[in-house]
Amino acid sequence: MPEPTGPEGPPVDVVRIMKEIRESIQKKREEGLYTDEEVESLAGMRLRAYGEEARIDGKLLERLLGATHDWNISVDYLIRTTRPGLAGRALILTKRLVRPFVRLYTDHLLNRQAQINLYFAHLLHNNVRETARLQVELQALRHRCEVLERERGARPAR
Amino acid sequence: MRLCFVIQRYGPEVAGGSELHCRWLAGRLARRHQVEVATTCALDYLEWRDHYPPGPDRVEGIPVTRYPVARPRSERRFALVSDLVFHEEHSLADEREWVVENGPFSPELVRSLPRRRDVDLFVFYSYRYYQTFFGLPPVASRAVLVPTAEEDPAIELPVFAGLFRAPRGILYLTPEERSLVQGVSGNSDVPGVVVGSGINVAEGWEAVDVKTRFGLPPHYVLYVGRIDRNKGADRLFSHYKRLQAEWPEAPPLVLVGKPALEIPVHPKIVHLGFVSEAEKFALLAGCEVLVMPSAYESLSVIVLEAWAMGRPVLVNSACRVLEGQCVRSGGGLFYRGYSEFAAALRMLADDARLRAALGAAGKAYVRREYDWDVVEDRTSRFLASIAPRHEEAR
Repeated sequence: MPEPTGPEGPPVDVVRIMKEIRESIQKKREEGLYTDEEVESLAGMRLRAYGEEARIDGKLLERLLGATHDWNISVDYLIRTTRPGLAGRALILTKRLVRPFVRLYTDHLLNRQAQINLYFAHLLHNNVRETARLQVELQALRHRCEVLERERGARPAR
Repeated sequence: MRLCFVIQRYGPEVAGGSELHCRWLAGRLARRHQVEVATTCALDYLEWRDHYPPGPDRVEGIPVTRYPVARPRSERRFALVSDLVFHEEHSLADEREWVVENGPFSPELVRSLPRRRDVDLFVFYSYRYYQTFFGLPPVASRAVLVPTAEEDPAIELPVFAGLFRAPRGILYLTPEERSLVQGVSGNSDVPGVVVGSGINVAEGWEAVDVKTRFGLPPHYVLYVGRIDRNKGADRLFSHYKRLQAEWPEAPPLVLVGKPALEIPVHPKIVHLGFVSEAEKFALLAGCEVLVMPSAYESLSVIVLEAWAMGRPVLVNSACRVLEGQCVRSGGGLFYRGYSEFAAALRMLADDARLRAALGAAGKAYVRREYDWDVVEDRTSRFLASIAPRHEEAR
């Protein structure tokens, strides 16, 4: 049974509805009532700021903060050359022939380094996230204290 | 006019927004023009392996010529080249290599186009694929591009700026897509028109009782499409599970489509898999709201279909196209992040009058802007205005 559709009445102002929703969310934030996702976004902003402070490449920073691990070192790579013509083709062929032997020695080391990188990245991201969460919690507690103090101040003295 | 549509894959079995748009538009324009299609033998877009036999074919009465894919796409190589062009210092030659690796690599298709002197206009679909990137420039004076551009990293690649400036005309699907393409390529002097797409509501959907057939409750939220990270399905799952934890009475989430990621085991997440077109429209008509979490859409047909059935939508506002459509139509709400998703969905679920008003506004918008007669007329007039005279460009 299809849900009823309304008659064509006056248009709904969807921009106004979303503005109201956003304002009510903002109000909650001012009271320190953040959702996990907002804490996540706070932590992201902090991580981004650290990266900018360290002046690392902006594109790499975006990848470091992304969901995938494509920022990490990889054992696979494209064989390319800037040399044109026959020399270039010969060079690519040589590199292709040599690559399996090189990778025999490098793959293990690179894989291990990639694991270590991943672990440290995870550790640091979690630390920053936890600090952001604690800060938000502190803000909420401060807000509660202020409200309680105001209530106490407003109550007539016995 | 003699029109030749050029597209990466073509057929009734082909799933994909741009392919569907191409098939629908070709079908409509065939009523007043001589229409044919040049495409590859591929069906699957991940590897582009030949599926259909090469040579002439006929799909829904339209002549189709299929060309073989010379080399299927290598996932590994494509990933390496993508990594290079999207993350590292690179050259234009690397970006061209990205297009080649993206495929479908069919040089035979590309070579065949300039030989077709009898064609008045070629209509190329999707800027990012091999057949458009390499096929359009040699016939640029007779080429119309349907970019189907989304706000993803590929659109920023400088190699495409020249492609957007080359054709005789451009058919855009939304005003947002036009702004996006003009922004990256500065091609505002290339004639263009926003044509949109018509909606084909399946016949017989009224007779389908989906709630009995699929055992659904009276109220449910619907998602239709590829269940994929690229479509924002992972975020939808995490948002929905959190919402359920905070609001156990939230209506169940019903999913329709092929999963490309693991669907969480949750008592209120119901996956129906593939359904028929009539079932899809019956599901749309019966839902409380259609959710579209994708951040990358050049035109979301399913959103238009929900509106055609008079249902409201809730879309990801990270996608400017979707947000723009909601603002223009007044047919849906748009969220950024979990808090807005939860608040908007609760508001929609709690307020039947709001749902009905949004649905009605969406329906009126689709009738006004996305009626096939309107789209066909708009497209035909534009093509006639830019078509080269016979002595030109041949």
